[in-house]
Amino acid sequence: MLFRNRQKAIRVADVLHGCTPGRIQSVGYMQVIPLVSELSDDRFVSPVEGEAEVFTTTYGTLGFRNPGNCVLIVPCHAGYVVKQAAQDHAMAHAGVVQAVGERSFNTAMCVQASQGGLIQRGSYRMLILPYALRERALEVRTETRFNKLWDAIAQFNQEMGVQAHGHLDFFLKHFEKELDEFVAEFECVPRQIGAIILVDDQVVGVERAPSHAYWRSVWPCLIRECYGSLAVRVAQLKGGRAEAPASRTPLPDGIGSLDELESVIAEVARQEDERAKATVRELLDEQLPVTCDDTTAGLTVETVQPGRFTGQVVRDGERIVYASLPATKKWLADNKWQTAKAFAI
Amino acid sequence: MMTELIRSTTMPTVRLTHLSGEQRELLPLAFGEFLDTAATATARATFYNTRAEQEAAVENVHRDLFALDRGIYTAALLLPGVTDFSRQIGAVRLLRTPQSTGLLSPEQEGAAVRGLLRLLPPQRMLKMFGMLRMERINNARTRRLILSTLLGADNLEFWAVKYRRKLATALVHAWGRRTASIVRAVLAKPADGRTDMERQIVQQHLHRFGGGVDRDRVEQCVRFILGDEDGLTLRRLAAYRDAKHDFAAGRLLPFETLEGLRGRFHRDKTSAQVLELTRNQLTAGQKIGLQRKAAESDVAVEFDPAKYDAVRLYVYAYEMGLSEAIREELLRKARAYAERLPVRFEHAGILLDVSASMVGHETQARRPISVALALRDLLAETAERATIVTTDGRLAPAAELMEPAGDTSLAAGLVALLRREPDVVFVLTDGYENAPAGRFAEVVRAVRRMGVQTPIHQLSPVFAAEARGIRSLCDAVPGLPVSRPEAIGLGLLKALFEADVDRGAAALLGMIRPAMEGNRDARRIEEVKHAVS
Repeated sequence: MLFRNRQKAIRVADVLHGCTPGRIQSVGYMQVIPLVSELSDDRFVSPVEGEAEVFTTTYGTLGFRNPGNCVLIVPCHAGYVVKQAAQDHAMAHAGVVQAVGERSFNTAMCVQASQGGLIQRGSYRMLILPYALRERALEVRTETRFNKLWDAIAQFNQEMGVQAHGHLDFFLKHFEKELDEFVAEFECVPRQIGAIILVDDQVVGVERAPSHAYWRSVWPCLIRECYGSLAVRVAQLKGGRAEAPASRTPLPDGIGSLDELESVIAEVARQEDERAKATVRELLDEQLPVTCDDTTAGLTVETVQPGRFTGQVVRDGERIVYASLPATKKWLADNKWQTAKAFAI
Repeated sequence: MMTELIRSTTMPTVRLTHLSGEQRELLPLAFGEFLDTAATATARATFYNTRAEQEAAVENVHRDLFALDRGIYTAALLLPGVTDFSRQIGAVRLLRTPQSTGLLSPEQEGAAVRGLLRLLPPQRMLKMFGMLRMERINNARTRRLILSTLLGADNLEFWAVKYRRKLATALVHAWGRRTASIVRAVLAKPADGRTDMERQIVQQHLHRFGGGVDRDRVEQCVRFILGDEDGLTLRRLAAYRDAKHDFAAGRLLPFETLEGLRGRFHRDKTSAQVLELTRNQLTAGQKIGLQRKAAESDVAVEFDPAKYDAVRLYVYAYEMGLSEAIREELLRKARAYAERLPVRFEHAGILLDVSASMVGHETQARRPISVALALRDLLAETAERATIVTTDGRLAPAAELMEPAGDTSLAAGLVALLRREPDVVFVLTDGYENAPAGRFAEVVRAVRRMGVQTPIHQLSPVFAAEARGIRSLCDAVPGLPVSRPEAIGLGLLKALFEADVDRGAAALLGMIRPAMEGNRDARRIEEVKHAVS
């Protein structure tokens, strides 16, 4: 992987180009605004839909064989927790593999500290690293130390209340049921190509895929391990039964007839829809300074410098075909402070 | 609806006097949870739950009901709509534990277990025997059951070529390795060349279980199953032996059996040739299951839609298309099922969840939506007039496919239905609402507050282990699980148990009557009631 340092800036609006927001989905602390689009570029596949062969050749080197005729885009922070006696690995960044090609990334990370063995070639279930680990993973994306994420995983595990070791599988096993629920609760809608994810009323990520099929294949990984882990953490901190998010309008009391109820439901849905649109609108001009990391098969992989968002985008010329932009922890913390109620007595 | 049926359909002819007051209180809950699970659970993963979660949840509800009353547990396994998987693990549980008193006497329980086996398709019955072996259950009851079921079967010859290895496993488990080896050695000798001791062995281990059927046929089948292929004269057994060197001889074999032999002995032949050769041997299940392969291989395999249940036909239609013949059969089945239900409505409202999750897990793809569509057709036929509304506003006329897509918004659909003043509203959904979650419950609360008391029932085709039952949309609308349209009566039974356990037990015995009476050895159901005062 070639890491260059050529900085420029894009806007969130560029990432969302060609998309419109769909109806917001809301369960517990998590909300998802689907991004739908007529644009669907089927020249690119994910490791899931492209049935890529995954393997490790040494600790810290994760390889992909792309058997198909489409270019493979490995999602940013794709990981593999396997059942065989082998060290689980994850990518520290996104990757591009040529059609009918093979490529190894020696910047990958072990996510299972005290486990030996290499992952044999095969198809495995993919995940995307938990939200809490992604910022750190991106910071160390150029390093070639296979153990570079162990401390962050240990700290993450400790926060989540599981054994404080560099084993991502400890977290995944402990919260398996909760994470599975997110996959069931948030459904893909027709022509969906991306999503804006909110947890506890804050935008925690913007995701975009090149095609509808690509999106369908990566969505379970994003909602389950990546953003689901954050919703689990928020639920832990808040405890008890989930409060309805502020953007969710409850039906008023005292509705007198079915006609009135029908119009109230429509009005409440319109308000929620408008709030979702406002959320997107507020993001549009957000500047995303990017540096180019790699160019392969005509695609450039660019890293967003941490601001409101971090993450990576993949571009085909000027066209953004893939983006994964988790919000930074610092921005979320600052935003919480800024949006807190003013002191009053 | 439920309350009216409780009043009109049952009389308290059964008293469960052997239960303590505490047990009577616990029984409705345990029975309800058992039905929720037994009607929908399979050994496969669902969209929401792994296989391990399914199995753990199923184990819990079986254990709870079994601990309360073994007889009610046994009878419940015979109910129409209970899945084969539930029956398999139920039969294993009954055979694993010594018999004791309960609603059913030991003799009646024996008859019920034989009834359970009869309800299982042969491959699942043999799988259950495999489960007995895995758990090392080999008591006298189990041995007798396995041997009488297999050696007395009319289809033993067909089973022998189709399930040879599984049959061998079951027989060796029932006899033990040493006896099986002796039986094989004795059967290798001609009947008139055996000593008295050898004749006794054959009588004791084979023919006393064979029920007087053709002795030579049973002996040849057992020899074949145990690996001896010399001197076989039965057509199918000989065909198996000969097909190893003469491909055409395999025309009497089941498709998958000849397919297996092709892989080993005739690699120059194609799967399409196997299909062409064996198409007259296909079972009803294979005829529908192999339609795609038949179409690809350009082999015409006729199948009769009347032989399949509505859910299976919908699953098939999603893959191969909905023909006019299938559509007619779906409507006919819906009318037939509806006639058997003891309810009629003037106007039924049906709210159909067609969201993406109704596709189901990949191991049972499109089964949830197929169950929902079959229910839609059935429920529409219970009424003079039916209004059907979907979660995304699409039209969903009876016997039409609906492609699951999008999010789940049920609230607006519910209000749209209630405005048309139906007698009852059925919500067919997996229970996962997200646009937004909880809106349906808010609407139900709102309509109740404004005095609209139209009964609302949630029927769910998906098993959700995390709730030890199905996932309800709101507390005021308890969900009823349904895996097949014919299982809709289970919801009524559950309500009966909640209202009065004695009435529930009486209804339970009434509902299992056909399954019990279908067994030659079963006493009439009236006799079953002697166990209770």
